Amino acid sequence: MIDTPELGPLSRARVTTRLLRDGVSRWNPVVAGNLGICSALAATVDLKGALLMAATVSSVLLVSTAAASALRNHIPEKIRLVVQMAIVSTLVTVASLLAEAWFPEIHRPIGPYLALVVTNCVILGRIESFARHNGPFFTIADAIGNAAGYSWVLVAVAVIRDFSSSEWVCGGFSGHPAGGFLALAAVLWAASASGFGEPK
Amino acid sequence: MNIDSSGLAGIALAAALTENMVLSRQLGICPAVRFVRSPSAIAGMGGAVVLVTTVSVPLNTSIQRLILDPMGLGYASLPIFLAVIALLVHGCDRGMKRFLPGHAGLLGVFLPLLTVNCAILGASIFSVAEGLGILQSTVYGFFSGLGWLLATALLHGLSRRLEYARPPLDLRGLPLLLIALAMVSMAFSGFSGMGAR
Repeated sequence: MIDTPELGPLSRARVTTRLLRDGVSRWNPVVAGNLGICSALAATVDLKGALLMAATVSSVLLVSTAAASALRNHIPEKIRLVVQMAIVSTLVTVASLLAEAWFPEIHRPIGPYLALVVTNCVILGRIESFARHNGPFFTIADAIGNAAGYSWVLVAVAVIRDFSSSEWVCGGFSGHPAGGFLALAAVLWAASASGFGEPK
Repeated sequence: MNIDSSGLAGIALAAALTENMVLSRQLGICPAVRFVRSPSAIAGMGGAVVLVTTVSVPLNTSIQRLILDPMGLGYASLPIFLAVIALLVHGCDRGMKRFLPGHAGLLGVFLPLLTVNCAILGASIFSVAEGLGILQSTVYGFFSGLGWLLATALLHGLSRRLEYARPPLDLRGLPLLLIALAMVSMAFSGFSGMGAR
């Protein structure tokens, strides 16, 4: 039994399902936390790029939060941030190299943005607020939930951008950054209106 | 992304306007979204960003080209860039606390958070990707920081005005700001064709 401050005593299974579910809906990192917006805008020009970005962020999120959680009692407080950034940057370098090797065509337009995953607020946010204080099991559950939440927003924005080649709004949303902003605004609005994210 | 070596003025214009960090490359938006304070706080943060980019971009570019690439360690640039930026931000933080304590108080925790600002790291990454020289990357760093400050100040003013708007409930906050961002971004794309090819 785990005693959570706001929910009272809960079984392990309950906490896990809650973490998985909330990462996608209630505490969705993009909708509720407004994190990871930069990549949600830049890598969503087409669907393949968005899937690659989502896969990269998800895998780095999972491994880095698991590592940070496993090491949480062994890292001195003074160098905590340095160690976390070292973990994340190593993982991002690996992921970026793998992406370049396995999917060179998709990697090419978003190469720099994949490197910038190291500063992605979702990853750092989860490490700072969750992995630091909780054990690996729940951290991984939380990471899966957040990864899924981030990924569906990215895919939604990319679907809007990729498939809107109509002429009715500035020649479609796809290439121009303004299209990205508008598509993300649309997705956030729809998500908010459907009950995702915190109630306002 | 075609910042040619068409002169430093071309690079400057591209970095600040046509390929603006926030409005065109969509980086470094987080402070603009979360950090709605007074204009002098924005100026302070922008000054710090300009300082860090002006120093970090040429430094990182040189490290990449003169040290990492010849040693075959080109892929290991990320932790090194981050370390350089973190040192510079830390230096800025200490400097501000010592010489401008009022400003440091205004910025609070957001100043150390500049270490993970995508725009600052992005400037280094793009500079390396474009293959800029030392002087070119200094100009690029300075003007991309300046472009970030310009866009953030614009957004800041916009979000203050948007506080008086009464949109549907779910549009409030970030979605509305994103729509405003889209308008500004379209306006800035009017600058393309000036300077860099």
